[in-house]
Amino acid sequence: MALGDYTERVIRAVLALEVNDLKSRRELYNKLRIDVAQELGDMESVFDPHEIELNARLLEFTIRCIEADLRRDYDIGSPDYAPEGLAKFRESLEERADQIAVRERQVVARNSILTARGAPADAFGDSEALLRLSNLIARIDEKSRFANPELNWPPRRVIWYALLLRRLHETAAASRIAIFWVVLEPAFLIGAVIFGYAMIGISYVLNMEVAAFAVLGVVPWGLLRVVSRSASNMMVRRTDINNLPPVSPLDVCIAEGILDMMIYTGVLVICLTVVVLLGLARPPASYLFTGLSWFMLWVNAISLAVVMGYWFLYWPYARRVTPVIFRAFSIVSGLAFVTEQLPSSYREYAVWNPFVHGLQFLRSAYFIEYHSEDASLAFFGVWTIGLIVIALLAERAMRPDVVPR
Amino acid sequence: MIVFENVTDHVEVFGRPLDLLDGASIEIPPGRYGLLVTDPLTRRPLVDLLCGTRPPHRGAILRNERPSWAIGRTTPFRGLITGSDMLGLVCRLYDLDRRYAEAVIRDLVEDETVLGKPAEHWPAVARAEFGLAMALLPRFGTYITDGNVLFSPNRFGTLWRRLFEQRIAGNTLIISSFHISNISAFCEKALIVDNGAFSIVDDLDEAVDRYPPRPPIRESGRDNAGADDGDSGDAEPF
Repeated sequence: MALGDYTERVIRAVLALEVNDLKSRRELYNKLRIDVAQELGDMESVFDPHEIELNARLLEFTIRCIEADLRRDYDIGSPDYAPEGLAKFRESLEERADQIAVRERQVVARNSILTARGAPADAFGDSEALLRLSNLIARIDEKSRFANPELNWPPRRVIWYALLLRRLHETAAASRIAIFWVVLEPAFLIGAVIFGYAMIGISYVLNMEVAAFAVLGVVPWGLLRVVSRSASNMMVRRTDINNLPPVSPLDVCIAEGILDMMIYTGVLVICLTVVVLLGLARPPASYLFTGLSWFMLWVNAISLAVVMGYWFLYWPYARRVTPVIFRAFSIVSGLAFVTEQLPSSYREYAVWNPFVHGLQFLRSAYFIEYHSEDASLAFFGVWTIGLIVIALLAERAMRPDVVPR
Repeated sequence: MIVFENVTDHVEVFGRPLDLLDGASIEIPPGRYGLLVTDPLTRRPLVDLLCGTRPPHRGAILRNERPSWAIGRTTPFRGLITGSDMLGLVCRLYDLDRRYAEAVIRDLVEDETVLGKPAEHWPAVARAEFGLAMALLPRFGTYITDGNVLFSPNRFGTLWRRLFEQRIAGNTLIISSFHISNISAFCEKALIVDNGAFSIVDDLDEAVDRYPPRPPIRESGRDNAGADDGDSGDAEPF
């Protein structure tokens, strides 16, 4: 396998430029890339992936070294000039080439064994392997509901399930410690809220135990924050999976949202179980309505994720701004208080925040003693439906611009 | 069959809009086509339209058969998960029998340890082989490639080509590659995109002379597209 040497070529080309500025050099580098790629591709034999990849990497590194030295005002035309680090990089590529050559020799040896077994090396088309593979593929077609290649795709729930499993595998492969942090992070904030109330001598907030009150503020807010951030990021940045035709960006968003809901439902159950077992709170008055309220918050989070995805796609800087907005918003979203605690002059403004209604419905469902006077089902319902409509319109508008990677 | 009805589309490349199609309409009957374009940067987004993975900005693309993914593109087969997990994903999406699918992959690819290793540790060739082998499993009505699909005539390359020929028999095939070897190996006609409009030309050699396949500008190694990611790439950030 031949590794070229592009140093002289790049240096000569740069020195031959009439105007040696950054723009001209960029155009020159792009031209060199195209020319070298064409030369490597114009072989009579079929494409050798190793040769092109290693040579392309060598060319890129050469260009980087020379450009960096030019910016440091080195004299690249001097006879003593040699790009720093290039020799070492070339050695590492040559090692890689040797490893590939060893593997190819093993492949040849394996092919020889097949030849010895009666399958001539130039007649793999008639070999036992071809027949075996053809039969296996025919069996796959027989058992598949989609063997007929008409335009039919699996139901959405199948796609979401497949994507969810993929994300679970990725999460498990990424970091096991991250799973613990998902529980520890809200635990710290719950502790802070409980401590804050304890400092002013409050152990019941409007007849609600402070411990469960804090859990039912911190964990749902965490759900809203995490689902809207991670699902929107997955939708517009992790578009590699969109290369598989039935998968749309919305499917990716929903699958990520389902994963986060599963995680945060687990966190909620763990935190509530701990406070109940410690005698700091009672179990929920209504599991059904608590679950429904939780689900409505999740629907809001997913819709918000799609809208944020639209925002991130057309204004990438928004990704830096949204964490600040969320932190500020958490102060006024009922995380550590309910609107009934506020003076009336602030209360009339606080109830305009729709997430306050969602959190107060959740607390009303959990605590039999608490019935929120300010939470309005009509307001929250209209907000939720409106957000869903906006999300669907945003998703429709952004689909042509979400390019599979 | 694929029908484009008054399709207008553009994408953003290096921060600049790139026009792909301008009110283009065509009916692509079953056949084997080499996709030829004037600007190589348009090849990849055109493949996305053909595969149905991205809708156009205006107009409609109608199909009566299931299109494949961009065969030869390896971006779906990257990341932290193993080959076995990826196989599971494709089997669920396309309703394939997992046992037989795994048997095909194990028999076909040269390095079957990819099934147990995370994709980020695979060599480029193993990734390319795995992606091509996966493309044989589901049954599609239209096969679309993006990148090189011809390997050296070793065991994998020869077997894959034979199996691929079986798969595409009677179906539509659209080859998108700057390697002329791919086009001459598989195609009968040319599907040309020139000035935002489609045309089909029966004389493939003459079409290749007029619209010689060229590679796009390659991207630096820092980001996702590399030499093994089909033919596509973006500019070096110098």
